[in-house]
Amino acid sequence: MSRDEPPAGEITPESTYLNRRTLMRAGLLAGSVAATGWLYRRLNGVDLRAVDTEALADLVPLPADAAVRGFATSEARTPLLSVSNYNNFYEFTTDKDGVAALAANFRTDGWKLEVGGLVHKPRTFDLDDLLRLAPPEERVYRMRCVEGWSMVIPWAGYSLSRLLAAVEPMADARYVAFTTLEDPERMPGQRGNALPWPYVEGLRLDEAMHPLTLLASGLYGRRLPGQNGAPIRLVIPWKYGFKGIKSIVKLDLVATQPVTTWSRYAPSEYGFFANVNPAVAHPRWSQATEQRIGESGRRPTLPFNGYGEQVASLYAGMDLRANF
Amino acid sequence: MPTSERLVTVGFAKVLLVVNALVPAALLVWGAQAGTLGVNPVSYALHTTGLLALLALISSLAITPLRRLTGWSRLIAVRRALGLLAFGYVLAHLGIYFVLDRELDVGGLLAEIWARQYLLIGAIGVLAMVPLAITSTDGMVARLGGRRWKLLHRLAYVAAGAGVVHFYLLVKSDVSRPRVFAIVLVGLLGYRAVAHYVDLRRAARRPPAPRLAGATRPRFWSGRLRVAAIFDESADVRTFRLTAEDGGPLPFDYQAGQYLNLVLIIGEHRVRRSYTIASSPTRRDYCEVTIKRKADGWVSGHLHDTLAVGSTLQVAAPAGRFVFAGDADVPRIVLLAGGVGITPMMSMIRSLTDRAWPGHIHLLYAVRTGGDVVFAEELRYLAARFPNLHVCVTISGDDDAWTGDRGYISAELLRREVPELTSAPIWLCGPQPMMDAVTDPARARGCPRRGSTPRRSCRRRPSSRAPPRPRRPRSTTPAGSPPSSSGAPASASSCRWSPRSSTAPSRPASTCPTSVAPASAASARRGAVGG
Repeated sequence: MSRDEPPAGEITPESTYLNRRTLMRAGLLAGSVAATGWLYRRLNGVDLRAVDTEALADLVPLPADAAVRGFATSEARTPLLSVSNYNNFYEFTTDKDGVAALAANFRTDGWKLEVGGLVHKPRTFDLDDLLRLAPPEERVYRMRCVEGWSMVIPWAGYSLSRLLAAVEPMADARYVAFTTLEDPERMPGQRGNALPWPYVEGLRLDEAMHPLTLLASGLYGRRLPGQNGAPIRLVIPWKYGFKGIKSIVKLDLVATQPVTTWSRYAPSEYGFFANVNPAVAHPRWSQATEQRIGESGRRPTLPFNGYGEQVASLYAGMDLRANF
Repeated sequence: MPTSERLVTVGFAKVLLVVNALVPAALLVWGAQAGTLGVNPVSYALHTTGLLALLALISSLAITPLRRLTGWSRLIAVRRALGLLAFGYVLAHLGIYFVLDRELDVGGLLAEIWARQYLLIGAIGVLAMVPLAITSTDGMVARLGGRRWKLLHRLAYVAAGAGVVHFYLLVKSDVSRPRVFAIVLVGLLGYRAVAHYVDLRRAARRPPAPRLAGATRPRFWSGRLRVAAIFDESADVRTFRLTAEDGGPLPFDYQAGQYLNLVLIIGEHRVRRSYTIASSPTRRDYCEVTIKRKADGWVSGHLHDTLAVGSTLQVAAPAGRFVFAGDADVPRIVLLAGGVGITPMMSMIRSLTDRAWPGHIHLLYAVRTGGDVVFAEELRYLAARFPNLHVCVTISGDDDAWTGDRGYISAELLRREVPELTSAPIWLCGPQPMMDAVTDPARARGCPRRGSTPRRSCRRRPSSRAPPRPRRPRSTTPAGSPPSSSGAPASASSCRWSPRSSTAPSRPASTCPTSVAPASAASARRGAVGG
């Protein structure tokens, strides 16, 4: 024993000392586990947000021949909570689980839709004008994302052809170009450069005029929530989901094929047509199967997402491999 | 005896790390049960396990550079845990994909892996990790040998690279997260490349170690050696002389300060221990290990009890970078030894005197009592024949007969014994409290912690003997703790300090060695030296 040790009376008994250390270690362990758990939930947690948008009063129910026309499917609908909490909307974030939270307070008052280009009656619509153009009809479509997952979603809206008829396209109009709102204040994802902004999509005029092509303003009998493309969006059920441009502010009828956002970003991976096609793989992954949200495993993907009967004729004689 | 065991010991730090790293796994399982993993639980689980695997893998690769940069050598203790955690999360990742996405379709899985670049690259990453996991045990390290093990474990970079590319290929447009991983990985690789280059430059400046003419034997050897003689150095320290099984020169070359690994079968257990070679590499036909019998050390006890002249041992050698080859441009070296930490110093002293190295050798040797001075006679003899060898022994325990220095190796003692202390590289080997006792005053005196020097090695040496008491005990000592050998083993390590290069900016006027650079070494993760 050396000289500078404390007198015996001040020395903590060994058992007490060891007990105290065990306790402190247990405390440290518990505390660090709690902190790690909290941090993990913070960084990687998922919270589902309920949709509380206004209910649509004048929703037109499905017609009797809905199944034949492709307006409805008997497959199980993906729950609203899933539809509204898991989707891509890069204007908010590239995280599919994170869009709902960021879009929760998205304001659409004073929304205008400018329709111009090769039309006889160019016009800027107020949202109310636009919604009054035709009553919203229920449409239950399959939605196939280019990433390999799918849903069944009951939309509400009317065929885009109704809007196009109102502006009277000129004879040389061959394509329709659509543009999403560009406002980094309201759409925080636009502050980054995940994609070139604003988002632009396009359809051939005959595709745009097809009755299945829906200008949607509602979901599950309610107004569209921000994350799903409020106040108006496009739904083209036989094409990959990214063709369904959201929060549209502009429609242009044009003579030449517009350069769309994804095909500009990665031309070898995303074509202009983007028809659902199990035979043509994405360069990096397969499109032969899909994961239906809510189901386990994968199911086969159908050509034109199962809408071949209605739309295959649009592409008669076309090489669908080259025009992917 | 002072038990200066801290609240967070290396063992407890490992527990903390592993438990915390498994928190996400527990939350995943819980969330899967409760259905709270979001809209697409499979994709969520895949993404989370993949991210965690990459995080753990890259963290494990950051350990060695972090040790070199911070000098915090004990970080090495968590590297294996991180690697195995990464492997665990990778297996979970693959398992979830195979079971929940591919629905146990082996053919489908293989076809898809073959067809998809991102899956193929991911699979390469998984395959690269398999040998790493298999060879992560101490036994495998011994069987492979340090060099080959290290070479094999470069595969960790392949795995991490594959992981990052796999992640990158999966992302549609927002590559920010894979990019962060890629930048960190490239940084780590770059660091390793630069460090390697710096090491090579330093090695090139040193004269080559003496070798037998025409020696072309591999640097690393494993096989059996025979016990040729046994000597008792003190009551509990014994030296074993080992020779080649069939006579002739030793089958491996080594440098003074390196160690060998013994692989022993004791009962049903296969154990591996490292022991410093105490003899001089100038003796071509034998080497000696000097081993202290630990009160609770069943391996050292086993060696003391069962080894007899004629026994053979499974040996892998040599290993370690705690060496000094007798550089011509070094005028003076300082060797600080505590207890049985004398062994590498003895190897250096023996070889340097054998070769009549002209520099000054200062040995400061701390033990408990006069009876604990191993090699006392030999040191006295060598000091008499080689005036450049200066030996100072100091004792910390009670010994009425002792007439020499008392107390611990202090800055004062160093100053008294070693002229021009600031320019001398220092080798330090002893129990951890002694290391702390010597490093703390050095730092307190304003010695900056400098970047690393390459030739440092750190090994842990459980020692039952009371170490020199730390200047500042870290915790209170229980009353009436047993005086020495039955107490808890104090962990020990060794390191080398080198003075800053002369081109460095102004040095604080202090008498302490400047770059305090404890230890980095391949060997450190591989368990105990001695025992």
